[in-house]
Amino acid sequence: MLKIEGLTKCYGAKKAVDGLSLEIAPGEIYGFIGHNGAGKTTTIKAVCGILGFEEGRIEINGISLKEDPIACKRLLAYIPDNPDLYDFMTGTRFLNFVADIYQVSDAERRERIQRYAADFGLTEALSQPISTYSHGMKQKLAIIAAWIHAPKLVIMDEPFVGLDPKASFRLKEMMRELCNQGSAIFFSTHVLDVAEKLCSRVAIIQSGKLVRSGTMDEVKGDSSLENVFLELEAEQ
Amino acid sequence: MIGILLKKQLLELFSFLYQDRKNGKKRSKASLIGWCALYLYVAVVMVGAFTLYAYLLCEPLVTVGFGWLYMVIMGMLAMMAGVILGTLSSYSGLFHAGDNDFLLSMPIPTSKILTVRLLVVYCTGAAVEVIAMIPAVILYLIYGNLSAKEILLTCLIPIVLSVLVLALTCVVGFLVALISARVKRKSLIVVLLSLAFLFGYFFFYFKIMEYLPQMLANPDALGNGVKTFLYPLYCMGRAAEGSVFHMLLFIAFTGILFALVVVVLLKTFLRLATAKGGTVTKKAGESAVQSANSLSVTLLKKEMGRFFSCPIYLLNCGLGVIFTLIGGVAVIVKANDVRNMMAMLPGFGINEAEIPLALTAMLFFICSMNFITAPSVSLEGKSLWLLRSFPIPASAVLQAKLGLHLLLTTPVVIFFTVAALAVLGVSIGWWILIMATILLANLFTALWGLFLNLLMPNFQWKDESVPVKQDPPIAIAMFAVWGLVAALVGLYFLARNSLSPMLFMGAVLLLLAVANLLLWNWLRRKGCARFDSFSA
Repeated sequence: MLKIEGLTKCYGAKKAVDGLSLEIAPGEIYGFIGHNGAGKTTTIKAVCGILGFEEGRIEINGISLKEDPIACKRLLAYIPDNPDLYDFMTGTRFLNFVADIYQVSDAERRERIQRYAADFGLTEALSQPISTYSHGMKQKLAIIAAWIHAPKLVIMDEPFVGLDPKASFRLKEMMRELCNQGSAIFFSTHVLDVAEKLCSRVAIIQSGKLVRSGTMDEVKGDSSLENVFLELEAEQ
Repeated sequence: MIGILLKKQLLELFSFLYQDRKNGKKRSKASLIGWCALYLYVAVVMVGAFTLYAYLLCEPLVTVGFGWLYMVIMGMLAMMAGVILGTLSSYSGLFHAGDNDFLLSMPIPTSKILTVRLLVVYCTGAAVEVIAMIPAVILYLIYGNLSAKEILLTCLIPIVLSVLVLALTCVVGFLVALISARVKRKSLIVVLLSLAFLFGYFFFYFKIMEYLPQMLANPDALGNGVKTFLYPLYCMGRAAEGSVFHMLLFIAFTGILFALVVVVLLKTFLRLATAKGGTVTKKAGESAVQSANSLSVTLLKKEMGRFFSCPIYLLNCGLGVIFTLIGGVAVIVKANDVRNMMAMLPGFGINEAEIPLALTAMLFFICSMNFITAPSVSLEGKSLWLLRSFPIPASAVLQAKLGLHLLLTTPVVIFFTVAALAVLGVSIGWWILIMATILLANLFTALWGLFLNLLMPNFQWKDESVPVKQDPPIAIAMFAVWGLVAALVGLYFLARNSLSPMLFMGAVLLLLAVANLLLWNWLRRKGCARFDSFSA
């Protein structure tokens, strides 16, 4: 579903991501872990086509991101860590805006908006301007907007920040449901417990380089993901 | 505690002098000198304007024994200036200060927070009021032939008036904050109030010179009106004539009003300072599903949503649309005056055959007042990631921005042009030429503005006023078009002996067509590539 080969992104003389390679198959939930400034967000933004990159290749479902970015973006949905949405729109208008972009039919968007809004307790707030939303509400709205077009690949940057426990639980359920339908999820998180329980595969990035990747069992072995992470940090 | 808060407040108030609000970096010396020079210029213009009014009023009124009326009129003008500018400070600095929540969460009594904020609001209003009153007082001292008591009381007036300005500023700011806390969509109200203020300002500016002689010829009527309806200000005026009793009355009134304001503020400050504008209210009705639209319509609706929900964007970049519409109506209503004005042009060296050129230059200039595209890319701001992560070609994004500009401006520009051409009664050949030229000119302003914003985008703003008012694209866009119009006019005057007006107009039409083609081509290729390179 997602193939990253030798991704390198520089900011001036500094390599934010250095030769990163990983693959995500359909049905996988792939966790992406690293310390602050390790290069997680840079990698994620490069995969979403928001940031250009100097070297490497990114393919989504076999389509090169550089050669056909629009086709790649049709397959994916992105949720940033701090979603700045269109404050001048209501929640409903924003969701319909996204649905229009992805050409979601009236019937499908109706069903999905009603379902996900009820799941997240956002139904009443949808008719209000986004400018009145709290951070958590914006996060929920961004999640609904991502799911509204049933993407093949969901890319999320610390999606659980700001979500209440019920919403976190529902998001995890939605992630599993989507992957069971053949999609894949690639997300970064600092909450290692969640990554351990949720992810089938995980990658750890340090200072722009991939230092460990594989299935959860391969990466953590008999230890915990937290211990493995801390050991790697200590080694560095 | 008050000292600490005051120091913080003053640092914040003057932070624009040492910190660039666009990027948070320290200002260069050149930038600092520029800002100081700008403020000095504004102060000089204000002093100049008030000196002019004071000069026109002082001697005539003092001579006929209405020196008190002169002080009332100047006091009212100074008060209005102080209240208008002070209200901006009171709303943003008192009720909607960014650190209200932060300070209120600390062990600081609300009264102390309020005191410090009031001090700053007082300084803002008082500075304006005193600047306005100084020339009035000086001229009164010169022409009034005053005793020592009268001089003393006259000099006290600006100080007492500054407290009245503070009280009125707080009342107006309080009302604005109250409305803001209840109203969901503030933008329409802000736009309407701003338009009302603008029209009021222009009305006053153009009419004051007309009413001035009437006021001077009939001070009794005006004086009786002031005494009946504005008794506190009448007391202020009489105080300037040496009446201690009236000065005490004026001080008492000001003191009572100020005390009432403080009491109300103390009771309501906490509620207003922590209210969120447009609080979520239950609203039945907005359907969860809106019918699917095409990509181009979706993006255009998004651009329109942003435009009409942002008062600063609307007022600064779209006001020209309203003025163009009003201009078209005015041309029809005042058709005879327009014809008479055009008939006077030969007296200024413009012959009858050149009148269509003069009209075209004026219409082109009017087009330059609409720069809806100039800040449109920057206004994506921190939500740029949405457009960059969605499967939307950059060309569609840029077309939507152009589309908004043309959708709003083209109808009014056509209306104004048709009205002007119909009133002037030009030939069919000129009709076609002028209409084509103006439509191309309108398109040019749209393309030019977008071109500049793609070259000089700014996504790191916290306040829409930065991309709309402060960033380079909008100023460059406007001044460059003005320069182009001036250059074309100059070029014509150089070439008028060799080129007929129609031939020159044809050349301008061709020039605009080529310019538009070049800009369109650039936007289609490099413009799109540039947009795709912006990182969110």
